[in-house]
Amino acid sequence: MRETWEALALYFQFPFVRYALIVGVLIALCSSLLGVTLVLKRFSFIGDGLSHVAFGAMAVSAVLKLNSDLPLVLVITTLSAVLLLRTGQNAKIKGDAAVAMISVGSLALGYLLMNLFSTSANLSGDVCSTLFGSTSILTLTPLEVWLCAGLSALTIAAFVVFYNKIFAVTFDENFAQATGVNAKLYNLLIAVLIAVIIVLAMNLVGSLLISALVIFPALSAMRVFRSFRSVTVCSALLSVFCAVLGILISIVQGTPVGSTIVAVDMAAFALFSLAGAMFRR
Amino acid sequence: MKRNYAFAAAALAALIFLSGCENAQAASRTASASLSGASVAEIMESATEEITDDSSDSQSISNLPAEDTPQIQPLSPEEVQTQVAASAHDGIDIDLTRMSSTMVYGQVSGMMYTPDDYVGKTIRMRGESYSEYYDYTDTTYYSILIADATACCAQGVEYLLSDSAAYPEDGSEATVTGVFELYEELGVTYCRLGNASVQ
Repeated sequence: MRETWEALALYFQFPFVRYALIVGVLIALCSSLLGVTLVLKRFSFIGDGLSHVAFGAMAVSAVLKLNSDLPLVLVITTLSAVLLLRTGQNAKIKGDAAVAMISVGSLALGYLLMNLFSTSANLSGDVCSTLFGSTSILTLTPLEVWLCAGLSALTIAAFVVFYNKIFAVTFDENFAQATGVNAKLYNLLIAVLIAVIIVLAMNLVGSLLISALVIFPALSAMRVFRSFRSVTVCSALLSVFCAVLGILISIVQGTPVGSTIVAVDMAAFALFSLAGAMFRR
Repeated sequence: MKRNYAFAAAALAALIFLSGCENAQAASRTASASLSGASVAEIMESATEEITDDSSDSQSISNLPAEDTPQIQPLSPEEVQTQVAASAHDGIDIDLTRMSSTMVYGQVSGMMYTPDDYVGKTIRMRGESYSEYYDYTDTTYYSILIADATACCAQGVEYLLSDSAAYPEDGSEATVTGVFELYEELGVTYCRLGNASVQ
Protein backbone atom coordinates (compact mmCIF):
# COMPACT_ATOMS: atom_id res chain seq x y z
CA MET A 1 0.00 0.00 0.00
CA ARG A 2 2.86 2.35 0.88
CA GLU A 3 4.53 1.75 -2.47
CA THR A 4 1.21 2.49 -4.16
CA TRP A 5 0.94 5.88 -2.47
CA GLU A 6 4.55 6.66 -3.37
CA ALA A 7 3.87 5.72 -6.98
CA LEU A 8 0.76 7.91 -7.09
CA ALA A 9 2.68 10.82 -5.57
CA LEU A 10 5.21 10.48 -8.38
CA TYR A 11 2.62 10.06 -11.10
CA PHE A 12 0.79 13.22 -10.07
CA GLN A 13 3.90 15.18 -10.97
CA PHE A 14 3.25 14.48 -14.63
CA PRO A 15 0.87 16.93 -16.35
CA PHE A 16 -0.85 14.31 -18.46
CA VAL A 17 -2.01 12.47 -15.34
CA ARG A 18 -3.52 15.64 -13.90
CA TYR A 19 -5.17 16.38 -17.24
CA ALA A 20 -6.61 12.86 -17.31
CA LEU A 21 -8.12 13.24 -13.86
CA ILE A 22 -9.59 16.67 -14.59
CA VAL A 23 -11.18 15.56 -17.85
CA GLY A 24 -12.26 12.25 -16.35
CA VAL A 25 -14.10 14.00 -13.53
CA LEU A 26 -15.82 16.43 -15.89
CA ILE A 27 -16.89 13.76 -18.35
CA ALA A 28 -18.12 11.46 -15.61
CA LEU A 29 -20.13 14.28 -14.08
CA CYS A 30 -21.76 15.33 -17.35
CA SER A 31 -22.54 11.80 -18.51
CA SER A 32 -24.15 10.86 -15.21
CA LEU A 33 -26.44 13.90 -15.22
CA LEU A 34 -27.85 13.10 -18.64
CA GLY A 35 -27.71 9.38 -17.92
CA VAL A 36 -30.65 9.61 -15.53
CA THR A 37 -32.79 11.20 -18.22
CA LEU A 38 -31.75 8.68 -20.85
CA VAL A 39 -32.43 5.68 -18.64
CA LEU A 40 -35.88 6.98 -17.72
CA LYS A 41 -36.71 7.75 -21.37
CA ARG A 42 -35.68 4.18 -22.31
CA PHE A 43 -32.79 5.44 -24.39
CA SER A 44 -30.01 3.69 -22.47
CA PHE A 45 -28.27 2.56 -25.61
CA ILE A 46 -28.26 5.95 -27.23
CA GLY A 47 -24.74 6.47 -25.90
CA ASP A 48 -23.56 3.38 -27.67
CA GLY A 49 -25.27 4.35 -30.91
CA LEU A 50 -24.00 7.90 -30.92
CA SER A 51 -20.48 6.80 -30.06
CA HIS A 52 -20.49 4.58 -33.12
CA VAL A 53 -21.69 7.53 -35.17
CA ALA A 54 -18.81 9.54 -33.73
CA PHE A 55 -16.44 6.75 -34.69
CA GLY A 56 -17.73 6.89 -38.25
CA ALA A 57 -17.35 10.66 -38.25
CA MET A 58 -13.78 10.32 -37.01
CA ALA A 59 -13.08 7.95 -39.89
CA VAL A 60 -14.45 10.48 -42.36
CA SER A 61 -12.34 13.17 -40.72
CA ALA A 62 -9.22 11.00 -40.99
CA VAL A 63 -9.90 10.27 -44.67
CA LEU A 64 -10.36 13.97 -45.36
CA LYS A 65 -7.10 14.59 -43.43
CA LEU A 66 -8.58 17.32 -41.30
CA ASN A 67 -6.29 18.95 -38.75
CA SER A 68 -8.85 18.58 -35.99
CA ASP A 69 -11.63 16.02 -36.09
CA LEU A 70 -13.67 17.58 -33.26
CA PRO A 71 -15.83 20.00 -35.32
CA LEU A 72 -16.89 17.40 -37.88
CA VAL A 73 -17.45 14.70 -35.26
CA LEU A 74 -19.47 17.07 -33.11
CA VAL A 75 -21.67 18.19 -35.99
CA ILE A 76 -22.42 14.70 -37.31
CA THR A 77 -22.99 13.27 -33.84
CA THR A 78 -25.32 16.13 -32.93
CA LEU A 79 -27.36 15.68 -36.10
CA SER A 80 -27.71 11.98 -35.37
CA ALA A 81 -28.74 12.70 -31.78
CA VAL A 82 -31.34 15.14 -32.99
CA LEU A 83 -32.72 12.57 -35.42
CA LEU A 84 -32.93 9.97 -32.70
CA LEU A 85 -34.20 12.00 -29.78
CA ARG A 86 -36.00 15.05 -31.07
CA THR A 87 -38.85 13.04 -32.49
CA GLY A 88 -39.51 11.82 -28.98
CA GLN A 89 -42.17 9.25 -28.24
CA ASN A 90 -44.07 9.68 -31.49
CA ALA A 91 -41.32 8.60 -33.89
CA LYS A 92 -42.18 6.20 -36.71
CA ILE A 93 -39.09 4.14 -36.06
CA LYS A 94 -38.92 3.66 -32.32
CA GLY A 95 -35.88 4.24 -30.13
CA ASP A 96 -34.12 0.88 -30.10
CA ALA A 97 -34.53 0.17 -33.81
CA ALA A 98 -33.42 3.64 -34.81
CA VAL A 99 -30.40 3.49 -32.53
CA ALA A 100 -29.40 0.07 -33.81
CA MET A 101 -29.75 1.14 -37.43
CA ILE A 102 -27.64 4.23 -37.12
CA SER A 103 -25.16 2.63 -34.74
CA VAL A 104 -24.28 -0.42 -36.77
CA GLY A 105 -24.27 1.44 -40.04
CA SER A 106 -21.88 4.11 -38.78
CA LEU A 107 -19.51 1.61 -37.20
CA ALA A 108 -19.33 -0.49 -40.34
CA LEU A 109 -18.93 2.49 -42.68
CA GLY A 110 -16.31 4.04 -40.43
CA TYR A 111 -14.19 0.92 -40.28
CA LEU A 112 -14.60 0.38 -44.03
CA LEU A 113 -13.45 3.92 -44.79
CA MET A 114 -10.45 3.61 -42.48
CA ASN A 115 -9.37 0.42 -44.21
CA LEU A 116 -9.91 1.71 -47.73
CA PHE A 117 -8.25 5.09 -47.16
CA SER A 118 -5.85 4.29 -44.35
CA THR A 119 -3.62 7.20 -43.34
CA SER A 120 -2.14 5.66 -40.21
CA ALA A 121 0.88 3.43 -39.78
CA ASN A 122 -0.91 1.46 -37.11
CA LEU A 123 -4.54 1.22 -38.19
CA SER A 124 -5.54 -1.56 -35.82
CA GLY A 125 -3.94 0.28 -32.91
CA ASP A 126 -5.79 3.49 -33.69
CA VAL A 127 -9.09 1.64 -34.07
CA CYS A 128 -8.52 -0.31 -30.87
CA SER A 129 -7.65 2.80 -28.94
CA THR A 130 -10.73 4.63 -30.26
CA LEU A 131 -13.06 1.71 -29.51
CA PHE A 132 -11.77 0.83 -26.06
CA GLY A 133 -10.11 4.05 -24.92
CA SER A 134 -7.11 2.22 -23.52
CA THR A 135 -4.84 5.25 -23.14
CA SER A 136 -6.55 8.09 -24.99
CA ILE A 137 -7.27 9.95 -21.77
CA LEU A 138 -3.53 10.04 -21.02
CA THR A 139 -2.62 11.74 -24.28
CA LEU A 140 -4.60 14.97 -23.94
CA THR A 141 -3.11 18.33 -24.80
CA PRO A 142 -3.79 21.44 -22.67
CA LEU A 143 -6.00 22.78 -25.46
CA GLU A 144 -8.13 19.66 -25.38
CA VAL A 145 -8.42 19.93 -21.61
CA TRP A 146 -9.62 23.52 -21.86
CA LEU A 147 -12.06 22.57 -24.60
CA CYS A 148 -13.43 19.75 -22.52
CA ALA A 149 -13.72 22.02 -19.50
CA GLY A 150 -15.63 24.61 -21.51
CA LEU A 151 -18.03 22.12 -23.05
CA SER A 152 -18.57 20.42 -19.69
CA ALA A 153 -19.32 23.74 -18.02
CA LEU A 154 -21.90 24.53 -20.71
CA THR A 155 -23.49 21.11 -20.32
CA ILE A 156 -23.74 21.34 -16.55
CA ALA A 157 -25.05 24.89 -16.74
CA ALA A 158 -27.72 23.87 -19.25
CA PHE A 159 -28.78 20.97 -17.06
CA VAL A 160 -29.01 23.14 -13.95
CA VAL A 161 -30.84 26.01 -15.67
CA PHE A 162 -33.36 23.79 -17.46
CA TYR A 163 -33.60 21.16 -14.72
CA ASN A 164 -37.37 21.49 -14.20
CA LYS A 165 -38.16 21.36 -17.92
CA ILE A 166 -35.89 18.37 -18.46
CA PHE A 167 -37.58 16.67 -15.54
CA ALA A 168 -41.03 17.27 -17.06
CA VAL A 169 -40.04 16.09 -20.53
CA THR A 170 -38.34 13.01 -19.09
CA PHE A 171 -41.31 11.65 -17.14
CA ASP A 172 -44.29 12.59 -19.32
CA GLU A 173 -43.61 14.31 -22.58
CA ASN A 174 -47.25 14.54 -23.67
CA PHE A 175 -48.34 16.04 -20.35
CA ALA A 176 -45.46 18.50 -20.49
CA GLN A 177 -46.52 19.49 -24.00
CA ALA A 178 -50.11 19.90 -22.83
CA THR A 179 -49.07 22.19 -19.99
CA GLY A 180 -47.26 24.52 -22.33
CA VAL A 181 -43.71 23.18 -22.16
CA ASN A 182 -42.06 23.11 -25.57
CA ALA A 183 -41.22 19.43 -25.43
CA LYS A 184 -39.66 19.38 -28.89
CA LEU A 185 -37.26 22.16 -27.96
CA TYR A 186 -36.15 20.41 -24.79
CA ASN A 187 -35.81 17.11 -26.60
CA LEU A 188 -33.54 18.97 -28.99
CA LEU A 189 -31.57 20.40 -26.07
CA ILE A 190 -31.16 16.94 -24.54
CA ALA A 191 -30.05 15.59 -27.91
CA VAL A 192 -27.39 18.27 -28.32
CA LEU A 193 -26.11 17.79 -24.78
CA ILE A 194 -25.91 14.04 -25.24
CA ALA A 195 -23.96 14.44 -28.47
CA VAL A 196 -21.44 16.74 -26.81
CA ILE A 197 -21.00 14.38 -23.88
CA ILE A 198 -20.57 11.35 -26.13
CA VAL A 199 -17.86 13.03 -28.18
CA LEU A 200 -16.03 14.03 -25.01
CA ALA A 201 -16.49 10.64 -23.36
CA MET A 202 -14.88 8.79 -26.24
CA ASN A 203 -11.53 10.06 -25.00
CA LEU A 204 -12.18 8.53 -21.59
CA VAL A 205 -13.66 5.10 -22.17
CA GLY A 206 -13.73 4.66 -25.93
CA SER A 207 -16.70 4.10 -28.23
CA LEU A 208 -17.75 0.67 -27.07
CA LEU A 209 -17.85 1.42 -23.36
CA ILE A 210 -19.54 4.82 -23.32
CA SER A 211 -22.91 3.31 -22.46
CA ALA A 212 -21.50 2.08 -19.19
CA LEU A 213 -20.51 5.59 -18.20
CA VAL A 214 -24.05 6.80 -18.92
CA ILE A 215 -26.04 3.86 -17.57
CA PHE A 216 -24.30 2.40 -14.55
CA PRO A 217 -24.24 5.44 -12.24
CA ALA A 218 -27.92 6.17 -12.88
CA LEU A 219 -28.99 2.57 -12.38
CA SER A 220 -26.88 2.25 -9.25
CA ALA A 221 -28.47 5.35 -7.74
CA MET A 222 -31.94 4.06 -8.62
CA ARG A 223 -31.30 0.94 -6.53
CA VAL A 224 -31.25 3.07 -3.39
CA PHE A 225 -32.97 6.39 -4.03
CA ARG A 226 -36.40 7.17 -5.42
CA SER A 227 -36.72 10.88 -6.19
CA PHE A 228 -35.37 12.35 -9.43
CA ARG A 229 -33.22 14.90 -7.58
CA SER A 230 -31.64 12.39 -5.19
CA VAL A 231 -30.99 9.92 -8.01
CA THR A 232 -29.33 12.64 -10.06
CA VAL A 233 -27.11 13.83 -7.21
CA CYS A 234 -26.14 10.30 -6.20
CA SER A 235 -25.49 9.36 -9.82
CA ALA A 236 -23.18 12.34 -10.29
CA LEU A 237 -21.18 11.69 -7.12
CA LEU A 238 -20.92 7.99 -7.82
CA SER A 239 -19.85 8.51 -11.42
CA VAL A 240 -17.09 10.94 -10.44
CA PHE A 241 -15.86 8.62 -7.69
CA CYS A 242 -15.79 5.60 -9.97
CA ALA A 243 -14.03 7.51 -12.76
CA VAL A 244 -11.30 8.79 -10.44
CA LEU A 245 -10.85 5.41 -8.82
CA GLY A 246 -10.78 3.68 -12.20
CA ILE A 247 -8.14 6.04 -13.56
CA LEU A 248 -5.96 5.68 -10.48
CA ILE A 249 -6.20 1.89 -10.50
CA SER A 250 -5.38 1.73 -14.20
CA ILE A 251 -2.26 3.87 -13.97
CA VAL A 252 -0.97 1.99 -10.92
CA GLN A 253 -1.82 -1.51 -12.09
CA GLY A 254 -1.16 -0.93 -15.79
CA THR A 255 -4.66 -1.84 -16.97
CA PRO A 256 -6.67 -0.20 -19.79
CA VAL A 257 -8.30 2.97 -18.50
CA GLY A 258 -11.75 2.57 -20.06
CA SER A 259 -12.26 -1.04 -19.02
CA THR A 260 -11.08 -0.34 -15.49
CA ILE A 261 -13.53 2.51 -15.05
CA VAL A 262 -16.37 0.31 -16.27
CA ALA A 263 -15.30 -2.48 -13.92
CA VAL A 264 -15.41 -0.07 -10.98
CA ASP A 265 -18.86 1.10 -12.14
CA MET A 266 -20.03 -2.51 -12.18
CA ALA A 267 -18.69 -3.09 -8.68
CA ALA A 268 -20.49 0.02 -7.47
CA PHE A 269 -23.71 -1.20 -9.10
CA ALA A 270 -23.39 -4.50 -7.27
CA LEU A 271 -22.85 -2.73 -3.95
CA PHE A 272 -25.79 -0.41 -4.46
CA SER A 273 -28.01 -3.29 -5.57
CA LEU A 274 -27.13 -5.08 -2.36
CA ALA A 275 -27.84 -1.99 -0.33
CA GLY A 276 -31.13 -1.47 -2.13
CA ALA A 277 -32.17 -5.07 -1.50
CA MET A 278 -31.45 -4.64 2.19
CA PHE A 279 -33.54 -1.44 2.33
CA ARG A 280 -36.53 -3.13 0.78
CA ARG A 281 -36.68 -5.92 3.39
CA MET B 1 -31.96 0.88 11.26
CA LYS B 2 -31.85 -1.29 8.13
CA ARG B 3 -30.57 1.68 6.15
CA ASN B 4 -27.72 2.13 8.63
CA TYR B 5 -26.78 -1.54 8.35
CA ALA B 6 -26.87 -1.29 4.58
CA PHE B 7 -24.60 1.72 4.52
CA ALA B 8 -22.25 0.09 6.99
CA ALA B 9 -22.04 -3.03 4.86
CA ALA B 10 -21.44 -1.00 1.72
CA ALA B 11 -18.77 1.08 3.45
CA LEU B 12 -17.05 -2.02 4.79
CA ALA B 13 -17.03 -3.65 1.40
CA ALA B 14 -15.64 -0.48 -0.17
CA LEU B 15 -12.96 -0.31 2.51
CA ILE B 16 -11.90 -3.88 1.88
CA PHE B 17 -11.87 -3.25 -1.84
CA LEU B 18 -9.76 -0.11 -1.50
CA SER B 19 -7.20 -1.34 1.03
CA GLY B 20 -6.87 -4.80 -0.43
CA CYS B 21 -3.90 -6.98 0.04
CA GLU B 22 -0.36 -6.37 -1.23
CA ASN B 23 -0.01 -7.14 -4.89
CA ALA B 24 3.47 -8.31 -5.73
CA GLN B 25 3.05 -7.34 -9.37
CA ALA B 26 1.96 -3.82 -8.46
CA ALA B 27 4.84 -3.56 -6.00
CA SER B 28 7.33 -4.58 -8.66
CA ARG B 29 6.04 -1.90 -11.00
CA THR B 30 6.15 0.84 -8.40
CA ALA B 31 7.80 3.87 -9.92
CA SER B 32 10.04 6.31 -8.18
CA ALA B 33 12.35 8.64 -10.00
CA SER B 34 13.79 9.87 -6.74
CA LEU B 35 13.94 6.64 -4.76
CA SER B 36 15.94 3.56 -5.61
CA GLY B 37 14.54 0.04 -5.41
CA ALA B 38 15.36 0.09 -1.69
CA SER B 39 12.75 1.71 0.46
CA VAL B 40 13.61 4.17 3.19
CA ALA B 41 13.14 1.45 5.79
CA GLU B 42 15.67 -0.82 4.12
CA ILE B 43 18.24 1.99 3.93
CA MET B 44 17.73 2.69 7.62
CA GLU B 45 18.24 -0.98 8.35
CA SER B 46 21.44 -1.21 6.32
CA ALA B 47 22.80 1.96 7.87
CA THR B 48 22.42 0.59 11.36
CA GLU B 49 23.27 -3.08 10.82
CA GLU B 50 25.67 -4.68 13.25
CA ILE B 51 29.30 -5.29 12.38
CA THR B 52 29.51 -9.04 12.05
CA ASP B 53 32.42 -11.19 12.97
CA ASP B 54 35.24 -11.36 10.49
CA SER B 55 36.70 -14.82 9.98
CA SER B 56 40.23 -13.46 10.25
CA ASP B 57 39.44 -11.52 13.37
CA SER B 58 38.33 -13.52 16.35
CA GLN B 59 37.17 -10.49 18.24
CA SER B 60 33.50 -9.66 18.19
CA ILE B 61 31.91 -6.45 19.22
CA SER B 62 30.73 -7.96 22.43
CA ASN B 63 34.29 -8.91 23.33
CA LEU B 64 35.77 -5.50 22.69
CA PRO B 65 36.38 -3.19 25.56
CA ALA B 66 33.71 -0.60 25.94
CA GLU B 67 35.99 2.24 24.84
CA ASP B 68 36.79 0.37 21.57
CA THR B 69 33.27 -0.46 20.63
CA PRO B 70 32.44 1.39 17.41
CA GLN B 71 29.66 3.84 17.96
CA ILE B 72 27.10 3.36 15.23
CA GLN B 73 25.04 6.47 14.87
CA PRO B 74 21.77 5.73 13.06
CA LEU B 75 20.92 8.19 10.30
CA SER B 76 17.96 10.46 10.75
CA PRO B 77 15.03 9.96 8.31
CA GLU B 78 15.94 13.19 6.51
CA GLU B 79 19.54 12.07 6.03
CA VAL B 80 18.41 8.70 4.75
CA GLN B 81 15.97 10.32 2.31
CA THR B 82 18.75 12.56 0.97
CA GLN B 83 21.16 9.64 0.69
CA VAL B 84 18.61 7.51 -1.14
CA ALA B 85 17.65 10.30 -3.51
CA ALA B 86 21.26 11.15 -4.30
CA SER B 87 22.40 7.59 -4.80
CA ALA B 88 19.38 6.42 -6.70
CA HIS B 89 18.72 9.38 -8.99
CA ASP B 90 21.75 8.67 -11.21
CA GLY B 91 20.86 11.69 -13.29
CA ILE B 92 17.69 10.06 -14.64
CA ASP B 93 14.91 12.59 -15.10
CA ILE B 94 12.24 10.10 -16.19
CA ASP B 95 12.63 6.41 -15.41
CA LEU B 96 10.01 4.52 -17.39
CA THR B 97 11.31 1.16 -16.18
CA ARG B 98 9.68 1.75 -12.81
CA MET B 99 6.24 2.76 -14.10
CA SER B 100 3.16 0.75 -14.98
CA SER B 101 2.56 -0.07 -18.63
CA THR B 102 -0.32 2.41 -18.84
CA MET B 103 1.85 5.22 -17.51
CA VAL B 104 4.70 4.28 -19.82
CA TYR B 105 2.51 4.39 -22.89
CA GLY B 106 1.01 7.72 -21.84
CA GLN B 107 4.48 9.13 -21.15
CA VAL B 108 5.89 7.97 -24.48
CA SER B 109 2.82 9.31 -26.30
CA GLY B 110 3.46 12.62 -24.58
CA MET B 111 7.03 12.58 -25.89
CA MET B 112 5.73 12.15 -29.40
CA TYR B 113 2.97 14.75 -29.18
CA THR B 114 4.81 17.41 -27.13
CA PRO B 115 8.51 16.66 -27.65
CA ASP B 116 9.61 20.16 -26.66
CA ASP B 117 8.66 19.37 -23.04
CA TYR B 118 11.18 16.54 -22.94
CA VAL B 119 14.20 17.92 -24.81
CA GLY B 120 17.36 17.67 -22.71
CA LYS B 121 15.89 15.24 -20.20
CA THR B 122 17.59 11.96 -19.42
CA ILE B 123 15.17 9.12 -19.92
CA ARG B 124 15.43 5.42 -19.22
CA MET B 125 13.07 3.00 -20.90
CA ARG B 126 12.76 -0.71 -21.47
CA GLY B 127 11.21 -2.46 -24.43
CA GLU B 128 11.96 -4.51 -27.48
CA SER B 129 14.73 -3.25 -29.68
CA TYR B 130 14.27 -3.20 -33.42
CA SER B 131 16.27 -1.89 -36.32
CA GLU B 132 15.28 -0.64 -39.74
CA TYR B 133 17.50 0.28 -42.67
CA TYR B 134 16.39 3.03 -45.05
CA ASP B 135 17.91 3.28 -48.52
CA TYR B 136 17.47 7.00 -49.11
CA THR B 137 19.46 7.93 -46.00
CA ASP B 138 21.71 4.86 -46.08
CA THR B 139 21.23 4.61 -42.33
CA THR B 140 20.06 1.96 -39.93
CA TYR B 141 17.71 3.27 -37.29
CA TYR B 142 17.28 1.59 -33.93
CA SER B 143 14.24 1.97 -31.75
CA ILE B 144 12.71 0.72 -28.55
CA LEU B 145 9.12 -0.48 -28.96
CA ILE B 146 6.75 -0.11 -26.01
CA ALA B 147 3.26 -1.63 -26.07
CA ASP B 148 0.29 -0.35 -24.11
CA ALA B 149 -1.70 -2.30 -21.52
CA THR B 150 -3.78 -4.14 -24.10
CA ALA B 151 -0.72 -4.79 -26.27
CA CYS B 152 -2.69 -3.67 -29.31
CA CYS B 153 -0.95 -0.34 -29.66
CA ALA B 154 2.76 0.28 -29.61
CA GLN B 155 4.88 3.36 -29.47
CA GLY B 156 8.49 3.43 -30.55
CA VAL B 157 11.33 5.74 -29.62
CA GLU B 158 14.50 5.89 -31.69
CA TYR B 159 17.82 5.78 -29.89
CA LEU B 160 21.45 6.36 -30.86
CA LEU B 161 24.27 4.86 -28.83
CA SER B 162 27.00 7.21 -27.74
CA ASP B 163 29.88 4.88 -28.47
CA SER B 164 30.62 2.01 -30.75
CA ALA B 165 28.87 -0.51 -28.55
CA ALA B 166 26.90 -3.24 -30.24
CA TYR B 167 23.20 -2.73 -30.66
CA PRO B 168 20.84 -5.40 -29.29
CA GLU B 169 19.43 -8.00 -31.58
CA ASP B 170 16.04 -7.36 -33.12
CA GLY B 171 13.24 -8.46 -30.85
CA SER B 172 15.38 -8.66 -27.73
CA GLU B 173 14.43 -6.76 -24.62
CA ALA B 174 16.74 -3.88 -23.80
CA THR B 175 16.98 -1.03 -21.33
CA VAL B 176 18.11 2.21 -22.94
CA THR B 177 19.16 5.37 -21.15
CA GLY B 178 19.69 8.51 -23.15
CA VAL B 179 19.04 12.22 -23.54
CA PHE B 180 15.88 13.17 -25.40
CA GLU B 181 16.71 15.30 -28.41
CA LEU B 182 15.25 16.53 -31.67
CA TYR B 183 17.03 16.31 -34.97
CA GLU B 184 16.17 17.18 -38.52
CA GLU B 185 16.57 14.93 -41.51
CA LEU B 186 15.42 15.62 -45.05
CA GLY B 187 13.35 18.53 -43.78
CA VAL B 188 11.48 16.48 -41.18
CA THR B 189 12.02 16.80 -37.44
CA TYR B 190 12.41 13.57 -35.50
CA CYS B 191 13.01 12.79 -31.87
CA ARG B 192 15.28 10.20 -30.33
CA LEU B 193 17.33 9.29 -27.28
CA GLY B 194 20.81 10.52 -28.07
CA ASN B 195 24.09 9.81 -26.30
CA ALA B 196 22.46 6.58 -25.20
CA SER B 197 23.67 3.52 -23.42
CA VAL B 198 22.05 0.12 -23.49
CA GLN B 199 21.84 -2.66 -20.91
